[in-house]
Amino acid sequence: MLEIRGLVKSYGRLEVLKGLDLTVRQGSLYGLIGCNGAGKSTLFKSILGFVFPQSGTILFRGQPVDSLSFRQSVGFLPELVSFPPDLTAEEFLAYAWSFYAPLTPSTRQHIADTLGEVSLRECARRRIRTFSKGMKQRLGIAQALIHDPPLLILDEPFTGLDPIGKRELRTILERQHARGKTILLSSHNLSEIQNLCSVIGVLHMGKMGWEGSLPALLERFQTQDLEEAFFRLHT
Amino acid sequence: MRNIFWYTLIENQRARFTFAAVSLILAIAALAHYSSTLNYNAGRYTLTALSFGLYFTRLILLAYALFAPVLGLSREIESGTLFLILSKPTTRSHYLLGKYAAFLLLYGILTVTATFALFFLAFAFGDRTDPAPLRLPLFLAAEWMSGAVLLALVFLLYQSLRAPLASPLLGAAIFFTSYFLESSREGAQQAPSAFSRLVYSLLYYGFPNFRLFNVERSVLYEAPISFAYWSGLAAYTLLLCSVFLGLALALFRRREL
Repeated sequence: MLEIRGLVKSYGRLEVLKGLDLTVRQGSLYGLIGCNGAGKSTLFKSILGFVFPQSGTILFRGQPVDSLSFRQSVGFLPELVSFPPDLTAEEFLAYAWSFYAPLTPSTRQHIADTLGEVSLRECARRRIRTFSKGMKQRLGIAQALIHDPPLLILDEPFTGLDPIGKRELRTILERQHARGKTILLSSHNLSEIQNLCSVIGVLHMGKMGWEGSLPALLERFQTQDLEEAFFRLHT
Repeated sequence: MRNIFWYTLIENQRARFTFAAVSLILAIAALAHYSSTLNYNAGRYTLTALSFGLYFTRLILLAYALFAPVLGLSREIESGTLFLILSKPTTRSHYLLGKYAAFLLLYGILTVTATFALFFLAFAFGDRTDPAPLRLPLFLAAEWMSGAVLLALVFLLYQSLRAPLASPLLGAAIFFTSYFLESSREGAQQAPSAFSRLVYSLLYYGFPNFRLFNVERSVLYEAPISFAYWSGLAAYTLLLCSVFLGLALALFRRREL
């Protein structure tokens, strides 16, 4: 579904991605892990067109991702999620929806349902500036889901969530995956990745250090713990 | 682009900065009223109220045009809200033009508010036979055009410098410098060498001249403004806005976020 080949991205002399290859198959739940500065966010920014790689190709269903049709098909949650503070949750989702289709009377119900999906239905008319970190994260998920995209790209979605928030988010992602969505997410929370993802990519020094199924990774390092496997891969 | 325009309006209508600008404009109207009722201005209420009001209103509008868009844009870029918006099926050009259109309309709303407040003062307390308040729409039109150019300039400066404080300050410097351009024109006509005349001419014609939009004298003293002047001013506005916004868009499209 998403195929990246030979991606190179430098900031000045600092080469962050050094010919990265990555394949996300349709319907998979792909967990991307790596140390700080490994290039995870740069990779996501390259996919979304926020930064411009020096070379390499990024294809979505065989087509380059620099088209508007790719953006119709993707829901994105950035690492540092932030919203216009003076809009309400309902207004922001209407704003997000308006990029995909005109606002109609039925949109309000769809927005309410999407907010319900992330347990924010009661806060629909509250201004976002009054939201906690966890609520903003869930609203970020809601705006990524609003147009029911086949591909979700989530950069550190578990950051800042308390244990209940993490469990709720895991449930949301499992539900979306069960509905056939392809999910590419990055996280430093390896236990969440281990619980959630079927395919793991380990980004190391701007290249893919490992890419494959979770059991294969664990088997290679003779362990049952992803954190241990990650540690051994880096030493 | 329409949705970016619309939600920028909603957001800014609730923002403290816009609220502060409206409050200041109303405070200026109140001060204009107070200063006009002082004894030494007896009999010249309308002239004093309008000259005081127009001068300070222009300063407030200038501050709004310089700071509001930069604060709005920089907050969205630095906080990461822009990632959410640009991950949707829209282009960077639509984003920037939608923002520009929204701030231009807000600037227009502030100008209308100020004009209406001054008209109300002159009508309610001044000499109703004085035609000066009826010429306030001239101020409205010229100020809106000036705002369009200033906003486009600020958008360009912000995309070039990427500095939320330096951009409005440089914009202010350009605005006030343009009030001294007349001396460049004199230099262009009177300088001894051809080279000096060329430099002065380039300075005079190449620098955005905000003084051209100041129609205060016409409003207060009925100095006539020809149709040709208005046409030229409108064309000048379109030209500068196109150039500034075109450059701002080109820079923004190349900008890494």
